[in-house]
Amino acid sequence: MRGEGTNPSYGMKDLAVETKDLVRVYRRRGSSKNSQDSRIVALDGVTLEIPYGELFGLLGPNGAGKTTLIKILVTLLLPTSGTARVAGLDVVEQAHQVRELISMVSGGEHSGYGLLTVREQLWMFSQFYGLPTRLALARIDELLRIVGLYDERNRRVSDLSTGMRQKMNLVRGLLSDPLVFFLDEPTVGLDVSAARDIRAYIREWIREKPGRTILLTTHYMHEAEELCDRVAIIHKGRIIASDTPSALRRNAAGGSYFLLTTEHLPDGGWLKEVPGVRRVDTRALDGRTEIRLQLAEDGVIAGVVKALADRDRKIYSLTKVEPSLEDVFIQIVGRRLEEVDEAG
Amino acid sequence: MRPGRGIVRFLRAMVGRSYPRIIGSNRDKSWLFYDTVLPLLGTIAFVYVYKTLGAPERFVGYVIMGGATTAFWMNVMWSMAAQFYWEKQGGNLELYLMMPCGLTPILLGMSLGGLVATLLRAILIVSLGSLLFHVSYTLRQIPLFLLIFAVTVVALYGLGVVFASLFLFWGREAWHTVNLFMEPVFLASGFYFPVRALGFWVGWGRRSSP
Repeated sequence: MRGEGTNPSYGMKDLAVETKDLVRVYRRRGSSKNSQDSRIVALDGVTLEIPYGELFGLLGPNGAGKTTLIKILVTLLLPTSGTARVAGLDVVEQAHQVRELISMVSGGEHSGYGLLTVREQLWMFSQFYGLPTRLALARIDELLRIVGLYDERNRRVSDLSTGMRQKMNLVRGLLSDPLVFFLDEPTVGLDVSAARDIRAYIREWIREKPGRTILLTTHYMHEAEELCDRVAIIHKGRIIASDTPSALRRNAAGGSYFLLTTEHLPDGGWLKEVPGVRRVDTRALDGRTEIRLQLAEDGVIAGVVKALADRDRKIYSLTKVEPSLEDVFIQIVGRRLEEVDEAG
Repeated sequence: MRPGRGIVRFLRAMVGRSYPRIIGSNRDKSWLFYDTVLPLLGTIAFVYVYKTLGAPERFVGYVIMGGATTAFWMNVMWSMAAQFYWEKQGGNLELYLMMPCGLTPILLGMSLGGLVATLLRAILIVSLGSLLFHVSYTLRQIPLFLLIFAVTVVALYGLGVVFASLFLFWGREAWHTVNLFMEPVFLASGFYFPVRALGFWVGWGRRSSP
């Protein structure tokens, strides 16, 4: 029986995922064991507590350690040190029991076989969970209807678009009705519409299945902000902040944020010289320039407006905005997430 | 209805994994050409090599049987070992490793699917080869034949698992290793020409190896 003895509804443990001082070190191939250069610390003492029923987001740039953490939790990778428990079960000592309760879907996943139809492929995976064929097919059809893929059920997997394929993967992950569902960058590489659909199904699933838990990794700020009850920001293998998105914005971002649209401004860097301006991000927008400003306090905006007026720059709009998770990330890490990605 | 556990799930998982291999053969008919006609052409060529060498008529039957068993050899060396590698590349292996049924039924299903498909190919090669060269076979000890066949298949699949592991460790490097093994095995099996033609000691050495 699913989750018996582990779900809070059964009166036992109350954490779906729990890690303590989790460390994972990789060694580069071909390097000597004792060399410091040969060690890559993917996780550096990660401690997390995720209660049942939560949609928890792990946000971080590429190489931050998100996938390593998920792989340890789904029993694919051993930790170097520290402990990890899923549904109260140790992922190393009780890996087999953990596998009964979890499922994982990754972004850009090309699992399965192109020669099979969508329905056949999903049936094949259902057999690995031991589902009787009649039950499996009924569940497959129901889930395909929910994700809008029912009309494609007899289409070959190789003929599916990337978005359709990811919806099918999502169905595959839900076939076993997992207690803890791991989603590793589920919308990566998808177009806007397909990504929106996937996010909608994720939200819908957790709403309809109280007590189920999702751990989602992403490097899309808006995705974490839109979906997650709580978010942890991971950078260089360490959790550097963890809270609800609103609390993170409130506590970690700091200062005031304004969005200002002006006529084309090739270089807005000089705005940093205005006293109280902490950060200036510009982007071109239909012949105009959109400037996102982080200021020490609201009053600083007067100095910014004056500085633009002194340079004969028209201001088309000026709005005070709430800080985003991206602002939080910048505040903590010192760079934008994309900049960290590019820097490797 | 509840999900099965234990042996029920084991069998379901095995059948589930064998399904793509079996249905795949039915769906993509190109194997009829690549896996039957091409090996048959090779077999025919070696029949003529043996005939040119003045080998007794019964050797034609041996060559055809050798051609058919080569289908198993190829399946084990390429399909099974390389399949494992491709499963890893495609992301299936990760999913298989975290399935609650365990890896054993999935591997057995993979082998079962391969065995069915290869058996079909071997039967086609023997049937067509025998038809072309008017070869007839007399099976006097069917249980013994089936036993030898079963033992050979188990041994081959055991070897397949070893090579599958090599593929997982070394990836494409294993591909070349397998290539390295293929030709000596064909040569030593007498598939190209009777090994005794290379002299007594080579023939003796060949016979003393399994």
